[in-house]
Order: sequence, then structure tokens, then C-alpha cells
Amino acid sequence: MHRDEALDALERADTVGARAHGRGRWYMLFAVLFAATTFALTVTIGLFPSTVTIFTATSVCLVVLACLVTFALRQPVQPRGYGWLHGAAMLGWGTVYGVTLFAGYAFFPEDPVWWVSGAALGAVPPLVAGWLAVRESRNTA
Amino acid sequence: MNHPRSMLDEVIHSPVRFSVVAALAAVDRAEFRFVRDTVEVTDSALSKQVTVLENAGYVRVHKVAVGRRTRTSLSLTREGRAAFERHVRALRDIASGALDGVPADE
Repeated sequence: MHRDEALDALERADTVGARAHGRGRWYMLFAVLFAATTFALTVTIGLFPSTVTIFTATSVCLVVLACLVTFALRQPVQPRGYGWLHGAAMLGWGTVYGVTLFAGYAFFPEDPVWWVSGAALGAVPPLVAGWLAVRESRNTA
Repeated sequence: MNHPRSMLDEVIHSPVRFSVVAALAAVDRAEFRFVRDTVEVTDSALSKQVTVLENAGYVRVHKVAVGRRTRTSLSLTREGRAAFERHVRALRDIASGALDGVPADE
């Protein structure tokens, strides 16, 4: 193999790799929508804790999450590190959400500072995972 | 000192297989039809090349039943990723001409 052939092969690898990377960026959109949905849910059920509000907000959230899962399952590409990134994001969000809910209802009922802070903190793991997925894609291009 | 040509991987060296592996190296997993469209080959041509890569232990084929259809996706194995990285390193060495003049078998 000559130098020109090697350069052509490397260029081909870059082109094909970039196309595949690009299709993995859907995870950032998924992460942003997931973070926004769960932020709204946490704030709503924390600041307006009536049965009707909790039922309605949770139902709307479940519908949005079902749409997000369908969207994720239809993607042709899983970005690099998808398994552990998504697992860590869901574990992080679940932990923050659980603590915010249990401690909030017990010690900070309808306290805007607690509920908005908890909701914002819960949005961090998915957003970080989405950003890392995009960054990983850039690094490997 | 070995010329970088001797470091090229015989299995990955074919242009189509190299493109398939390059696409898969950029992701965790990709659907068969996405790889086919990205590499711009036919279903049967990709199937043949994937079989070669699978037999070499470089690619894993995943089949999931979705209704009546089967959804096929591909991923690189740890060996496949390592082989691709070695191959790309060798290509970079050849491209840079760092070891020009060092004898190697064609």
C-alpha cells in the first residue's frame, strides 16, 4: 500500500465515521426532553400537591416518556458509551427524584426553593449524559 | 524495524470491510440498513462482508424480532475495535511516510 492509498483510506474512515457519529446525536435531544419533562413533573407535584394535580401531571409525564422511549427505540444508531451513559443518567435522576420527593413531602411541603432546586438537580444527570454522548462523538471523529 | 504495511489487518484491509468497521467504531451499535446506506453497498454485499468480519471475531450480529420482521444490528467486538485501531495507526504511519525506506513484504 502506498501513501496516497493510505490517505484515501483514512479519509474514507473519517467520512463514514462522521456520518455514524451524526446519527448518534439524537441522544442529546432525548436527554433535553427527558430533563425538561421530569423538571416540570417534580415542580408541579411538589408545589401543587393535590390528588388531581399529581394524577394529571404524572399521566402527562408518562405519555411523554412513552413517546421518548418509542423515539429512542426507532433510532438506527446507539452512540458510543450509550449503555453506561444512559444507565448512569437514569440512576442519577432516579436517586435525586426519590430524595426530592420523600424529603420534600416530609420536611419541605410546597417550599419552592426545595422543589425547584431538587427538580433542577434531577435534570443534571440526563443533561450531562447527553452532553457526554455528543462529546464522545466529536472525540472519535 | 517492521514497516507499517506489515501491521495492516488482512481482514479489515478490504475497502468495504474497512468502511463497515469505521462506521461501527464510531458508535456502540448500528442497524444493518443504516450501515448499508452509509457504506453504500447492497444488502447481499454487506451480508457477505459482515460474515467475514463475524467469522474473524470482529463484529457481532444482533437480531431482534419486531412483530413479523427481524431487526438486525451490528456492533464491533473488543477485538474488532482493537484491530481497527491498529489498522488505522498503521495507515497513519504509511500516510506520514515516517518509515519510508524500511523493507516490507507487499
